[in-house]
Amino acid sequence: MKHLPTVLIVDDSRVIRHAIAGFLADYPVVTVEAGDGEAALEAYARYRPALVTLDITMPEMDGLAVLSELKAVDPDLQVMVITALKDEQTRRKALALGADDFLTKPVTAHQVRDSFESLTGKIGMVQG
Amino acid sequence: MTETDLHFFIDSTMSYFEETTGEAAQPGIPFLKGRDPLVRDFSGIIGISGQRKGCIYITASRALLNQLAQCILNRPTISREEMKDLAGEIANTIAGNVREAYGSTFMISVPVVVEGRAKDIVVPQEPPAFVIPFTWRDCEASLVLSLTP
Repeated sequence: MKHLPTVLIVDDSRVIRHAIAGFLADYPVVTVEAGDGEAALEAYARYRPALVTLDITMPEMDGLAVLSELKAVDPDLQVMVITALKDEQTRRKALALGADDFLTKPVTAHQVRDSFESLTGKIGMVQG
Repeated sequence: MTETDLHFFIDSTMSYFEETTGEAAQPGIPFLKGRDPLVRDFSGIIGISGQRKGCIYITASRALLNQLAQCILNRPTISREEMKDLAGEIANTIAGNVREAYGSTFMISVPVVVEGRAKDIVVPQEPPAFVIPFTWRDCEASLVLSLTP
């Protein structure tokens, strides 16, 4: 049986995690969720996702620290940052740490799907 | 707080509803918060540090959060926990979005959410707190700002 690629959705808001999972429901992927930075690193180690959507403002360990750790172990991992922090400094910092796309909340289904298709197209992941 | 500050927050709040649901919210006239309690069913509170200090909170009815969550999640049944979560997420998004104007020295905390059992949410007497009332789909909510200049 062919394994579907995994997308890890990281956000401390359960509503946002479920919304993003819903946006990606038509693609042949499995989504898994994490509600904080430490849980994100544990989920990455367990599921080895092809793509991560990553919030920044989270308890315990913020998304930029998670991004740094993920890119250190897997530079090819596709990371879509989805954050409320709408300032240029944060965008630059995230991109400098290796984020592959940077979206600001509130995000629409259209924005997330466009980014998903662009990022997964780069790595030849199966499209819906 | 200046008039410009108020406009940043009004714009951020209105944009949130417009972009999330395609339906605009209607802002009311801002006023100074008095001693009267201002707490609806769920309130999402964000602490502010850095160049500005204080807090902001959004307080909204169950009806507003229920309808908003239905739009976001595209399903009819919304749990109490999801409404509570959404109150925090609205506050987080509004506060995070105003960094477009203030920059990264406007540091925001993760949200704290309280249910409306509290008699009020205590904000410092100085500087004075401003209330921005608004409605969305005829449901009332308020954004409260208590920030140093």
